[in-house]
Amino acid sequence: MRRFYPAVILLVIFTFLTGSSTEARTGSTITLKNFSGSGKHSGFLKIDGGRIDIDSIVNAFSLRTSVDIMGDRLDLVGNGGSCRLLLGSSLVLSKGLFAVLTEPFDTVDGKMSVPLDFLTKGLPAIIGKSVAMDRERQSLTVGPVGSGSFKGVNADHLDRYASFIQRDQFEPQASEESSYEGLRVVVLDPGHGGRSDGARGGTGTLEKDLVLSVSQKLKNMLEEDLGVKVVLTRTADYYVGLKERTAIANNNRADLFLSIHANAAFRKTVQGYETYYLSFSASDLEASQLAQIENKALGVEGDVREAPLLEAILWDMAQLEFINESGRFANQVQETLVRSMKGKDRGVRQAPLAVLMGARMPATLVEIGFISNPSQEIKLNRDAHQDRIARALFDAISEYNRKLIRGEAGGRRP
Amino acid sequence: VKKVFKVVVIAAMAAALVIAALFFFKLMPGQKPGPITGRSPEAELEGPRVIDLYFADAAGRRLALEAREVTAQSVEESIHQAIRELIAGPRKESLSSTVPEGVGIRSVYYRDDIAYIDLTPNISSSHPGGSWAELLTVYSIINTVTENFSEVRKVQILLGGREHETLAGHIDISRPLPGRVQLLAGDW
Repeated sequence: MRRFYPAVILLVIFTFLTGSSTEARTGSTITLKNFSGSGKHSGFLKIDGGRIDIDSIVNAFSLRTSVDIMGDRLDLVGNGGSCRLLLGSSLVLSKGLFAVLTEPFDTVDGKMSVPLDFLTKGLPAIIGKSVAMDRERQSLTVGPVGSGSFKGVNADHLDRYASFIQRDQFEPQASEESSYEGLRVVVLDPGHGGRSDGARGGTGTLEKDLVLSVSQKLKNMLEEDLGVKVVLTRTADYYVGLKERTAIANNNRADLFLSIHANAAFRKTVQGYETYYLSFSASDLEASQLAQIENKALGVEGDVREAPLLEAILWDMAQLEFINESGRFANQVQETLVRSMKGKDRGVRQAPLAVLMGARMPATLVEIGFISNPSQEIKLNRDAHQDRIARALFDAISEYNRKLIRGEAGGRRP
Repeated sequence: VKKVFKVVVIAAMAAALVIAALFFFKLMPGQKPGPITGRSPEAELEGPRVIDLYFADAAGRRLALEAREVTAQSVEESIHQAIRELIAGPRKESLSSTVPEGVGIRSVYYRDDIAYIDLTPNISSSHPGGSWAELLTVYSIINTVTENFSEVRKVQILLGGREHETLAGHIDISRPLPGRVQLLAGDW
């Protein structure tokens, strides 16, 4: 997937929109012209008061968008990936990083817009090419990812440019991305442990023992049959904190995080399988805005790689960038598990699960059956049944891995 | 013409006066001073009111409503009553409890849009476990408060007087959380 890009040359011409009103509000457009193909006009970027209309970016670069139910989160998706904007926030979230714009993404006169530095900070992640503005040479450079550092320009001065002359900085960057061979490190997280028993079956089966057993079986299968490195967050009956579990996955640079739990309900008749990935809500948005305030107070700018403190504040948001991939993996797990076990499908669900929050990789939690259901509890205690569950989870992971290699899934691309 | 204008202005002023007086006399007698509890003066209530408790459906897939009447004078007392009823469980056979038996309320208080529900820590040990069951427990409590008391924007659940990361190892309750009415449809 997207190994090579033909050198698309964009000619960017600046023209002032109107000569009507004099100063202050200098409305202008950047016209994008595609010279590599038919040469037909491919769109324009509307600039007003140092801000760009989202619609014009979407049209010019043929992006897809999705807005969440609350209407406060906008995802922009292109051939190179995606990024997320939060209404009223200056943060651009992409590929596990948080860039900070000079002004927030907001609605001005009913139109969604972003400050100009979005072109260098957010757009590259979406179109998979670097975008650089060069004041001295008056150029907007569109090239492959990684061909340069993305330094924003001061939006105030941009309107002065008479024109942008395109330059093509295409430098083939074979190595890292094309050598992606699928999963290397998988972290399995047997739920609970130690003082945390988890759910308890009617005859005394403990969730913590059951999930450890299944996790160890799965670990052996993955190492032997798939050749990946597997790390368990706990290898015996002891307590590990929820944040610590995610930290183990992050520190091992895991490509996948699977938390394994056994289910329980208030009513004993309930049975079936569920798989979860993390949900985000409006309160998370507030958290990101808080982080933004902290960020301003610290005077931190640009790439979060340079700002460890901000990174710590945004722990809760770390999973956000991998959320689509987590959903894809969750679907794979649920589908395979239900099919293999011929069990009741209680669906893939999103929930604010504490153990998934800090994960910087696709992460899901699977509930491998209800031990609160007496007949299920008996089954879950059988070694052969545990083997079947472990095999079903193995099948799900190896199928996900096949899709990664074929380029049908995004995985953890840093 | 001047005279006509003058008459119109005077008539308008008189009309305004009459309307103002009407409002004054109509509204004033109804505004009895509420009983002083000394806890949250701005949050007084009048008489009994009907609220919706958030229980779970039988299959434990979604939240479902059951009405109760509360009679307390203050918001804090009403919330306390509502949570007590929630813990006592549903009357309808088709509904299921979301809070384990034997859980007590240590205290309920309300500050700056946030209601603090302090429960006895045995809710953790007596909870059946399971991600969705825990989600329903947490949001049956939160929704019961946020959806019935418009004064409350968020709910912080405390166990034994302290903030906890989760109730039973799954769902984040480390901070004040807003309600999720979508759970009535079984959706997060």
